[in-house]
Amino acid sequence: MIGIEEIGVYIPKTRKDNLLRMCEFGVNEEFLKTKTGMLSLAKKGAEEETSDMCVSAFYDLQKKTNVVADDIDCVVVCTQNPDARGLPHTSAIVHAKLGLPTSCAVFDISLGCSGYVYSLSIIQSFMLANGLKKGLLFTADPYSKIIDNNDKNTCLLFGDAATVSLLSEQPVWGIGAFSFGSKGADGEAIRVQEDSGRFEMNGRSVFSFTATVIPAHIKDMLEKNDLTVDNMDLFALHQGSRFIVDTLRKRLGVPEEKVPFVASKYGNTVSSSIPLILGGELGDIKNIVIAGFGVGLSWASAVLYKIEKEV
Amino acid sequence: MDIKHEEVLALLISSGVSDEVAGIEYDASLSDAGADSLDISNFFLCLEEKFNVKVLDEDIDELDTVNAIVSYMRKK
Repeated sequence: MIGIEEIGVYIPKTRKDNLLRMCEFGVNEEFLKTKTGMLSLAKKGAEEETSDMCVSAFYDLQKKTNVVADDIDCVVVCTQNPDARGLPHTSAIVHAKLGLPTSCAVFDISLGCSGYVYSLSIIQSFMLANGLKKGLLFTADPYSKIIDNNDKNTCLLFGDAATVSLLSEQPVWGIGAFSFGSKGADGEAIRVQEDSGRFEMNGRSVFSFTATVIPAHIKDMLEKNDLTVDNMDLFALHQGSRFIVDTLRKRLGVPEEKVPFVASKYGNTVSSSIPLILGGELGDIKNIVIAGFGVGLSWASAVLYKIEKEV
Repeated sequence: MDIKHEEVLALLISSGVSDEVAGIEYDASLSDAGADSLDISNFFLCLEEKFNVKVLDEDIDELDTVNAIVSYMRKK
């Protein structure tokens, strides 16, 4: 069985304080606290590359486990903001910076907010199909590379972070059945303009899509796993904004304490938002829904279940 | 479409728009009463689902009073 053994995280220390900029955009503290939910945003250093963020997340993983670079069989990096222009692929750069063995398979995956869930399925399947024992799944999508700092719709939302999930045959979290979805016809709602390289998002379209599609999608995925909403201890939903997380919680009919919003001090970190929840203190949690949704439009969800260690 | 002012007001309240809209005059501005862009997005999504209609993005900015919403819906 291949599952998640541990998760390392990296959140840059530098913060952009949204409370200092809110007047510029005609919003107040109440709006930031209760609607976007983002009071400050993590920002990587000017010279810090996507691969550097991955390496920092790996250092955190090393503090939590006895993972050895020589034992790593494969590396996947999920990003749409790679080093340089993505050639060579960022996973190859991470491979070099970590000094991983030449027998190691490495590749990138281009997905946004659904990326962690998709990538988890891909790396798990890849490892099982090829008899690999230890894999690293990185997420690092620093939107500070593409955000227009004068765009009210986006510049108070997104932050930079990276995570790495160690997948192995000694998992703490087992992985249940996945469900996936796409609606490419509405992909223009979240995009980078070809000419300017500027990131744009139609907040209303993204909100409508999320509120209407995701609750039914999660319920279908749970049914596939022979579970219901009531069986689940935690819903690790993509942290797009507090308002969208609250809306999904209400539409799913789940108590507030089961649906954390943890991004208020660092922002929407795209594919890193779910593993940042999983890498935190989870307490006595046994069953988790993970659900990512956004760029594409694309969405995916799955169930994680705690593996009880034999005494 | 036949729709009453009271139905729009009830939906504004049940969709979670600012408490201040509870006693709002039908010709008063919703945004002046504290409804922000996210409240409005959520309200129109609820309106679309309840009445099975599509409200175009470009129309929403003009629909800032209960009267305007009712007039718009009655043309649907």
